[in-house]
Amino acid sequence: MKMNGFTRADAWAGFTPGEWQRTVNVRDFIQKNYTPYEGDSAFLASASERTRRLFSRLEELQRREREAGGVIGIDNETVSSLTTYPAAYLDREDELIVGLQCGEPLVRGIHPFGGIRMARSACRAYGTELSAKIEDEFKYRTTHNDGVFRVYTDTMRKMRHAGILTGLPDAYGRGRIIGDYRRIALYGVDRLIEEKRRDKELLGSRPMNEENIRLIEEVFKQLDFLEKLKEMAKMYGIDISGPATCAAEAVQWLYFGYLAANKEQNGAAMSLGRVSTFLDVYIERDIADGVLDEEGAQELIDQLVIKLRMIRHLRTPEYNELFGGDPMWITEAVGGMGTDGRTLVTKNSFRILNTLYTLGPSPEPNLTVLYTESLPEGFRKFCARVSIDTDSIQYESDDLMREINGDDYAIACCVSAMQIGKQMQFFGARCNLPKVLLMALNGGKDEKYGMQIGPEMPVYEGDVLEYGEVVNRLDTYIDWIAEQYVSTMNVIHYMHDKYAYEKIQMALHDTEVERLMAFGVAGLSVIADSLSAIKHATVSVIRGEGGVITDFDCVGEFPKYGNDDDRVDLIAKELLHKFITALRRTPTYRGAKHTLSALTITSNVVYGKKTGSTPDGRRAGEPFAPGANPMHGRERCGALASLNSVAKMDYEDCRDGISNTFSIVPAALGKNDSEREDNLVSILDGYFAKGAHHINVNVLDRQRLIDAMENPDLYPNLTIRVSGYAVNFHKLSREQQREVISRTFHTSV
Amino acid sequence: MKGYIHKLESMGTLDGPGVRAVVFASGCPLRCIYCHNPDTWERSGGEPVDAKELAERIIRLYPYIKRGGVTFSGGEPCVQAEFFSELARLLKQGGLHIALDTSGAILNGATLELLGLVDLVLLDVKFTSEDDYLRYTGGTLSATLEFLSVLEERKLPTWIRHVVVPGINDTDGDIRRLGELLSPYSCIEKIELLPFRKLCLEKYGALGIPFPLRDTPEMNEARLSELEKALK
Repeated sequence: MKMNGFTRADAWAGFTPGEWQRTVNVRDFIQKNYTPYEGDSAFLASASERTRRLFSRLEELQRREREAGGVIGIDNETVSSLTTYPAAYLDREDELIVGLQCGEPLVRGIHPFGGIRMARSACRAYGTELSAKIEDEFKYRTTHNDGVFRVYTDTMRKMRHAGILTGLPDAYGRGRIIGDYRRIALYGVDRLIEEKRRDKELLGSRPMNEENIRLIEEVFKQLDFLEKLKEMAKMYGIDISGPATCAAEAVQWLYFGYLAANKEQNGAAMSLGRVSTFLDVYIERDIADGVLDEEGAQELIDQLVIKLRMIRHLRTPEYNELFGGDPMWITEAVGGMGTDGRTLVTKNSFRILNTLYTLGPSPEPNLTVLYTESLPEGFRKFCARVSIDTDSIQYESDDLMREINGDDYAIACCVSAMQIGKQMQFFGARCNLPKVLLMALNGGKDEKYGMQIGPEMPVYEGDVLEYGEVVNRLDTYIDWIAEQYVSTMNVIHYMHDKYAYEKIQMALHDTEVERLMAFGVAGLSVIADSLSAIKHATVSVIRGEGGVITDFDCVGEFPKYGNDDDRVDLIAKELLHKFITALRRTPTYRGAKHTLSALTITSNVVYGKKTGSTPDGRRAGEPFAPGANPMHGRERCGALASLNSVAKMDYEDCRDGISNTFSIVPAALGKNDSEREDNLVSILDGYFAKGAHHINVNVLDRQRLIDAMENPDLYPNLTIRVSGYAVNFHKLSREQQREVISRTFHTSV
Repeated sequence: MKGYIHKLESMGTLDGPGVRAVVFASGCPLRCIYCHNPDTWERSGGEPVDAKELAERIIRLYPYIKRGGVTFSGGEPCVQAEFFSELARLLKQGGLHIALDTSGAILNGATLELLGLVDLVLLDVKFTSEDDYLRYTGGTLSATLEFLSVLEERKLPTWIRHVVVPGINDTDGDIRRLGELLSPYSCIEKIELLPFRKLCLEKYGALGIPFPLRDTPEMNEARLSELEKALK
């Protein structure tokens, strides 16, 4: 590779040797070789001239993409894979890191293996058709989507239709799998092939039962795609069979792995992992050898991030309605502490956050700070400043996750922790809890469609809801839905493994991985407040056609989630415990471990739309609060009380993450920049010390969003955190924009 | 002991250093023309709370406010000085920094005891003449200065706060007089000029009380910065 022309004869020269040389063990390499950084941000460089030129080309393309209605072009002739497009460039002169998904920048490829229906309707939505060639080819192929619908029961279809289970990955790539892209840089592809061959041989000596046969075939596919990965790099004139010998190569090798994953899969969330501190080792070595300086180091990271910001997948309008803003979830976990007590923050942790200045605010990559009060103060303050300036980063508790996963985990999607290269996840969207409550009251009938979905029981008979009886009914239906939910997920992931297996991503995992099955809930605050209303106030039922309960009349005050009031907060906490306990009773496909999240992304709007009026006073169709957030406008005791309520949810029950989105106006955070930074650090320190798991931080005025809604052209880069990810505000639907504006903005008193 | 509070705001950053919990007391002897909390005037309008229970609610916020603290505001906390003394004693056990936000209108044995328990006083010096005090607040300048001299005697760190209202006290002369009035006191660490705002209009509307400064414009930020310079 010719970058600055510099390569080393011995790729590992200067590294401290260790176990990592004998086995594939990236963590051991990092631990033996990285340099913790305890200082502040003063060392950072700005964008190079070359980066600025390259980035302005991308900005021009992004502008054209916006003007074209969100999609610049679709290659409808080619099935996307590692070697199906020729090498393509954004700008050959200025590009340090190369590789595009399709033949032209920002053009979207076709991924039919997850489901050809979705590819077809997405093409139509953007004014084109899937080519006859692809249609023909897939006449004789089964997709993941086909497989799932061959097996779905009537009940599963009904639950899906009514929106009790929504966002299921049954029509596209499931995503949430993080390849350990660092392995390519550290070992080169040939070594990885060698290791996988050895694994395959070993598996061959085991009894040939169904499980073993499936795994051996998977390893065969992985080996096939590792060869394709080398071939793909060669199309760019680069040989990645051996390890990277310098920082520029390390970035390029790693990016090729990530690019290959996106050429193969259109997963709902395609995380990058935890690469910055790994790359820092290479950067430090080059700087020590005098072949790289700070500007050059920032340039490499900027150029990587430019490439990440160009990743695109073709989605349908329905998908966008659920997950607004064209998200990719290129999640990069930054910071954290090592199990030995040293911080994992390096200068490169600063550099990747610095891209929000060198290249401006942006939702992608989804920069996620693994936070704890033990992080160096200089880093915590820098993070606070980045939040205040850009609203583009999120924070997750390193203490909670390190305890369980050790110190080499990353975040899939928004809040899902997994050990890199050692665990994978079966993503399972979420269950609409308020609808389960309404179904329990209506004896298994859906409150909106009137059809019988769950087990039949008489509709609740009394006029006034009695807490004990409601809870009994709810328990029955939670048990039932939990079983249905696990079964549905088992079908989906059986078929995804069978028809759309993630060959290159799984090639970058250990052969024997631990599997997690990630369930989720939506509407936590709605159901908690509803139960609190039933318990503490007087809720009468209003019946519609056929005696089905369609509305409620609530008289009296009741404690509301979001005010640090145990009377209701513990109801929410207990519900999560109940739900995961119920889920665990049904075995999962491939022995995956059950996990749960309280995370909705932007789908809280659609969930709300599909749900009738609830006993807490929320009207039919009104959006839920996102994730584990309190309902808008019900927080009466200020920001910290609201944070305390969310912090009470138990991570033990919710190992797939508990998402909280927090918006505060700048004036409420302090009188000047330095006070605001210090105060935000205090808030984050306090929140995580309380045992909380996740927070999105927005520091902005509501008025600014209203203005951006009316004049989108004036705010092309306005980025805000929603739930687990960030979006360009202008990419949200009007409905989602209105919902974001209606959320609680903590103000000064 | 029971006290009457308007609310416990779990997060404030504008009333004392750092992130702070703010207890708004109910009841105030003054009726300042620009008051932004008319809902705290009457003690009987507040929620009765037990000092111990309130302290527990505040201590739940400890991890956030350990570098900041707690501010007693109002209303006028010194109306219920005994209650706030008890609260302060309970919070001190948790090691929290305590600020008292007061108009200085009430100085009695109970207030003196409370002053012995707080770490910082945010004292409103609202006007620089007795005429204006009487006309715009119903209180007296002399009481405020007497309060200040107690703080001086005790060397209690003090921040002065002064709301600047267009057309009432916003001339260079007004601010110069304020500076002169305060210059003898070495306990003063900081003088904060606060801009007159009308965010309280809704509250007045809801309470059915006419807001006397309805037609006065909000204070201009740039002008306030000029005045801040004049003070130095």
